[in-house]
Amino acid sequence: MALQSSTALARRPQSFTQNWSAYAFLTPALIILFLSLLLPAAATVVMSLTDISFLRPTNFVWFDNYIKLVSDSRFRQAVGNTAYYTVGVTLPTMALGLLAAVALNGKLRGRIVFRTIFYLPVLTSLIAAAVVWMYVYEPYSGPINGTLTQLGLPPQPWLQSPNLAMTSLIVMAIWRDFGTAMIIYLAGLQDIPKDIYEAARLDGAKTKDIFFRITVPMLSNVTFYLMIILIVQTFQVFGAIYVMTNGGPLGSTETIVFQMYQTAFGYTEFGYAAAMSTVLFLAILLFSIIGTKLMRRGES
Amino acid sequence: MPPVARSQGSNEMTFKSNRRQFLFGAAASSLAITAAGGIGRAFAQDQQLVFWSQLAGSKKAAGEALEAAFKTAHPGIALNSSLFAEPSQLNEKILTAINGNTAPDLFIQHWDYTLTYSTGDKLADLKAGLANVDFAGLDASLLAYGNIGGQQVSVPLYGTSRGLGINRKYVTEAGLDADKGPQDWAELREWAKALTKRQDNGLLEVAGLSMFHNDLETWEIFTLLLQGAGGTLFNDDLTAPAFGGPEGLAAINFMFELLHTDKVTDLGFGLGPGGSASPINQGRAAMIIAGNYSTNNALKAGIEFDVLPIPMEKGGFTSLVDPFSFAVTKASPNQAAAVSFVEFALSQEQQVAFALASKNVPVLKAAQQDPTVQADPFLSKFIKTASFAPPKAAAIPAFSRMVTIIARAVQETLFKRVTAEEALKAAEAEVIAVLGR
Repeated sequence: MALQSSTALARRPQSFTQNWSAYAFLTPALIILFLSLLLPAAATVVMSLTDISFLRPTNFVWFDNYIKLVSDSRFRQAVGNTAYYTVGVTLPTMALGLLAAVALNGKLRGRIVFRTIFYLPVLTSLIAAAVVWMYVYEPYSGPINGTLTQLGLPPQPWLQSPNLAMTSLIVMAIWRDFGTAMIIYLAGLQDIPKDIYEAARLDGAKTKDIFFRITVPMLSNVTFYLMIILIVQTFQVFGAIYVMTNGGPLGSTETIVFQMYQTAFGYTEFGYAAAMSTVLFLAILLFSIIGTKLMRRGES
Repeated sequence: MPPVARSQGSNEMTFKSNRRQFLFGAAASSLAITAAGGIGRAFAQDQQLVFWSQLAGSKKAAGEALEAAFKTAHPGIALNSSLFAEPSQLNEKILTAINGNTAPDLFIQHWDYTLTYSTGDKLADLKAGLANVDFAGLDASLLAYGNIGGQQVSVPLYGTSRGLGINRKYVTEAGLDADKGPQDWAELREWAKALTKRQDNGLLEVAGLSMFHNDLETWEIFTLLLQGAGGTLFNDDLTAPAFGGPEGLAAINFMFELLHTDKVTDLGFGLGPGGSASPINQGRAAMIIAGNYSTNNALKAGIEFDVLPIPMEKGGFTSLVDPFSFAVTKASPNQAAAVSFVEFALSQEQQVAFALASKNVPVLKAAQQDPTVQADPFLSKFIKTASFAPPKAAAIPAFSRMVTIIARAVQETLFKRVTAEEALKAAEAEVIAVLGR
C-alpha cells in the first residue's frame, strides 16, 4: 500500500510552474539538441521534397524524389547491397563475439592477452585497416591468394569480382567489429549470477544445455542491444567502401550511404540524396523500434 | 535566527545583483564579439584574395612557388590560400561554401567540377574578365573544357595528356621498337600479346596492357578507343550522345578481345591504392594509359619508363587532355585581385616555371614550345601527345555522371553480363535522360 502511494505520487504530473527551474536548466541542452539534431533532420526531410542542388534555384518537387527512388535500379541495387552487408556483418559478428566472450569469460590462461588482441582491430583507424586489407586481398601478391596458391588452389579476385567484393568487405568488417561484440557480451556474462550455473550443474545440466538454456536467454537484452547498434552501424557503412572499392566493381559494393554521397557531392542532386537519407533514417528507426520492443519483451 | 535571515537576504540580494550584472555582461560581450567578428570578417574579405587551391601532391612545390612569386610581384594584394589534397575534398568545400555565401574569390579545380558549379551562374565569365590575356595564345583543346554556353567559366593553369606509358626494358626484351611504338590497333594488339607474361597455372605476372583500375580510367580508355575508331562522345553541339554507334562498338569489342581472347590482362588487375602500388610501378604491367602524373612514381620505382602516342584503329594518333582550371566566383568582392592572379599565372615566365616544376603541360602555347620545357624528356612527350587531343571537349555539367554511366556499360560488357550493343544502347538512353534534366 505504501509502495503504491509513493509510486502514484511519483507519477503524478507536476505543473510547469512547479518545475520551471528544472526546465530552465534543461533549456540550453534542449536548444543544442534542437539545433544539432532535430533541425538538421527536419531540414533533410524538407530538402527531400525539393530539387535542391546548392547551385541552381530550388523548387518543391514534393514526392518526385521518392517516386524516382522506387524506379531507380541503382538505388534498388544499393538497398540490396546494404541489406546483404548488414545481415552478413551483424549475425557472424554477434556469433563470434559471443563465442569469444564465453571462451574468455572462464579461467583461460592468457585471457587478458586474448581479449586485448581481439579488441585491437576496433581501436585501429578504419582507413589504415582498409589499406592493409587491400594488400591482404591483393590477387597477385596478397597473403590469402599466396596461401591458396601454395595449397594448389586457384587465386581469387577478392575485390575485383562483382561476386566476391561485398563478401570480402563483410569479412573485414567482422574482423573489425567482433571485438566490440565480445566486450559487450563479456559485460553481460559477468552480470549473470553464478548460482544459476551452480544450480544447473547440480541438477546435472550439460555444458551445451547451460549455454543454450541459461547463457543465451540471460543475454537476450545484450543481444538485442548489440543487434541494434550493429544494424545502425552497418546500415551507414561508407569509409571502407570509399577506400577499398569505391562502390565497384559494377556497383556491387555500392551501399545506400555511398550512393547518397555520390548523388549529393558527385552529381549535386542534394534533394534526391536527402530522399535516400530519409528512407535510410526510417529504416533505421523501424529496426530500432522493433529491437527496443523485443528487448522490453525479453525483460518482461 | 534573525541575523541568519538577514544574512540570507543579504546574500540573495548580492546574488541577484551579480546575476543581473553577469547576464548583462554576457549579453554585451556576445554582441561585441559578434559585431567585431562581422566587421573584422568584412574587413578581412575586402583586403584578402581568398584562394582555394588543389595544387597538391606533385604540384605542391610548383603551386607554392607560384604563390610566392605572386606575393613578391603584387605586395598590395594579401593572398590567403588554402590547400586541399583531393579534388573531391575541395568540391565538398566549394559546394557548401557556395550555399553558405562563403565561397573563395578564386579557386583551381579539376575542370569537370567547375562545369558543375557553372550551372548555377556562380562563376564569372573569364573571357571578358581576363582583359590582358590573349586567348588565341592558349591551347584550344585545354581551353575547351572551360567553355560552356559561350562563356569561359574557367581557364586552365595546366593540363595533363594521355599517352601510352611503357616499360622500355620489357619492350626491348620482347624485340619491339620502343622508339617507334605501335602505329595502329593491330600493332597495339600484337605488342600487348607479346608483352604479356603468365605463369603455367595462368596467373598473370605482367599485363601486356593494363587497361583500367577504376571508373574514370574505364571511361578514359573507352573514349580514347572511341576516338581511335573515329567516333566522339557527343554530337557537335553536345546535345545528344554519339558513342553508341559503330565506333563505340569497335572500341568495346577491341577491349573485349584484348581481355578475353588475347588475355593481355585480367579484369580488376591493379585495382588498389594507385600511386607507387600501380602495376606499371611494380613492374607488373608493360603498357598503361599514362598521364603526366605517371612519370614521377614510375621513375621513383626504378622503371625504365617512356611515353608513346596512342595509336588509332587505322593509323594516326589520339589523346585526351585533362585540365586543372582557375575559376573566379561571381560574388567575389575581390574579382580584380583574382584576375591579377590568373593573369600572373598565365604569363610566359610562370607557365614555364610551373611546367618544369610539376611536369604538367602548360596552357600557354608559347610556354609549351619554350626550349627549357622542350628539353625535359617527359614533358616534351606529353606536350606532343596533347597535340593529338581533339579540339572539342565533352564540356557538359553532367560530365561526372556520364563517366559513371559509360564506365558501367563498358564493365558490364567486359564482365559478359550484357552485349556491347545492349550496354551502349542503355548507356545512351541514360545519358539522354541526364542531359534532359
